[in-house]
Amino acid sequence: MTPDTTAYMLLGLIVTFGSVGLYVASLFYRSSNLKQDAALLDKLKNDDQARA
Amino acid sequence: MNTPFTRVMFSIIRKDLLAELRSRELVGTMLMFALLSVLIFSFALELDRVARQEAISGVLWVTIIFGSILGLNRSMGMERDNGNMDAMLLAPISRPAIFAGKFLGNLLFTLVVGLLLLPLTTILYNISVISGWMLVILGLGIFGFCVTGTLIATMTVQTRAREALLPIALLPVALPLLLAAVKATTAILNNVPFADWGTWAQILLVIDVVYLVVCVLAFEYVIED
Amino acid sequence: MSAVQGLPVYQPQEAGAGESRTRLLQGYSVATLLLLTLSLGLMLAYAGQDVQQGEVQRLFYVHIASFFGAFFSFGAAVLAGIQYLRTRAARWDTLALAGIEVGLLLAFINLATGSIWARPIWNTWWTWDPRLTSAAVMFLTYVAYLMLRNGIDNPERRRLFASIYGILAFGTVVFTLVIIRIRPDTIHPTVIATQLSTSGSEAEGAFEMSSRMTQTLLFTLAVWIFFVTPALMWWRIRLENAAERLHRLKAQYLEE
Repeated sequence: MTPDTTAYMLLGLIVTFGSVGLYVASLFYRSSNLKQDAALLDKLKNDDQARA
Repeated sequence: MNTPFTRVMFSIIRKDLLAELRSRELVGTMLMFALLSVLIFSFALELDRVARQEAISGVLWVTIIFGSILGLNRSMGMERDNGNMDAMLLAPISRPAIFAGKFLGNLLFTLVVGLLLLPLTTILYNISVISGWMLVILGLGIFGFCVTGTLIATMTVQTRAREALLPIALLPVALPLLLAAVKATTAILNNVPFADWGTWAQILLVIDVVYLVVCVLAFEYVIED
Repeated sequence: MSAVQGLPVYQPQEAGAGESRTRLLQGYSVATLLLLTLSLGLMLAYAGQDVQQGEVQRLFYVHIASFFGAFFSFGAAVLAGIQYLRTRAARWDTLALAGIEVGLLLAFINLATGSIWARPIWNTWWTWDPRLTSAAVMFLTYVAYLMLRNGIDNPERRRLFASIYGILAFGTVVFTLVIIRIRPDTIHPTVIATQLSTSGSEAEGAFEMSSRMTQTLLFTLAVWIFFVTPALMWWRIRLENAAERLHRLKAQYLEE
């Protein structure tokens, strides 16, 4: 008798690819934060130049 | 036995012992903690004799480990706060000798706690835990734990979280060692013949040697600035 | 140590080289995605169903592959740690950090799929079996690595201590691999080992592998080891480099 364990398999696949997806999303999130910071820094620099 | 290495090593041990004899805060704190821990466990696990025999090696090792962590934090924190470490590093002495000195000091204090704990548990739990093999395993376990503890405590006292980080960083690395020690101790307490748990003693010995080599090599990098 | 607050010497790349590298990484990532989909297809449609365990057995491919992916990325972190201690070049530490972060993700997948498989097969999500325990400890050790890292402000000291701890932590990985040798009473099945030597173990949930299953396993292993793990690490390294660059620009700006 083969038990029906399809639900567990699906759960496992969701967790696997879900966590890879979450990690990739976190990479994107962190890099977009960096870009924001970089843009802010550029703006500050330009402001300083304009004032000078 | 009067090489520069041993001179440095013994003077560090003497310094730690003298400081301890004057203040009596290190071993005192560790012992008080050990006593309280064993008492709390004996309330918490109001067990029958058989169940106790199984649980007691866990109680023993948990107490020794956390007592040792208290001591390690204190001993390395002292070096850092008083600027001793900087002074020692300026002196032209070998780094492994500093490691050996600090390590042997920590080992001594933890061994004192461990040895006093044996009669204490014998009384409180009404099970004889003192035997030759017990002392051997206790020594091997504490040796390995203090080796890794001295290295990792040297790192963690230089972090922001300091004391809080030591158990977190140390316990997982020391786990293989503790597992072997707990298993061997449980076997001894249950009068299992040596042939059945001898592997654990061998594993313990191998881990001790490996950790000693790795930690001595790594110590040089940990204290370099 | 150096008077400059521990900032690594940064070699500016030529714009052209950086761009072609970006394109290479993008291509690599697309290939990874395709191969991953293909391995998923093999796993679901080609490998065949296990008669005793049903569909859940198919998680086994990801379970093994993610463990070995973690093994290789933690291993890379050890080599990078040793290289860092020898050369003191910050990029080695960046590699180690990427290896450990990606390794943690893979180790998590390994634990999660194992646990989900165990629910129908062992009738429990978790049991304190030697191998499960050591795998969990391995995971926690590397979490401790990240905590230790975050606790140190001085960048040079952070890299130094992280390298040393990364080397020490690998002990738990080795421990997880060898524990079935020293504790044969584990109930964790050793599917690959039993193919080589049919040793009578107490394993619960072991199964025979057909040749199609073996092919699927090898393919999945290759995809996770040679594509998923390196691709993720590569992206993580780029992120860290960008963070370093920004950090330096900030410091420069504040100095002016």
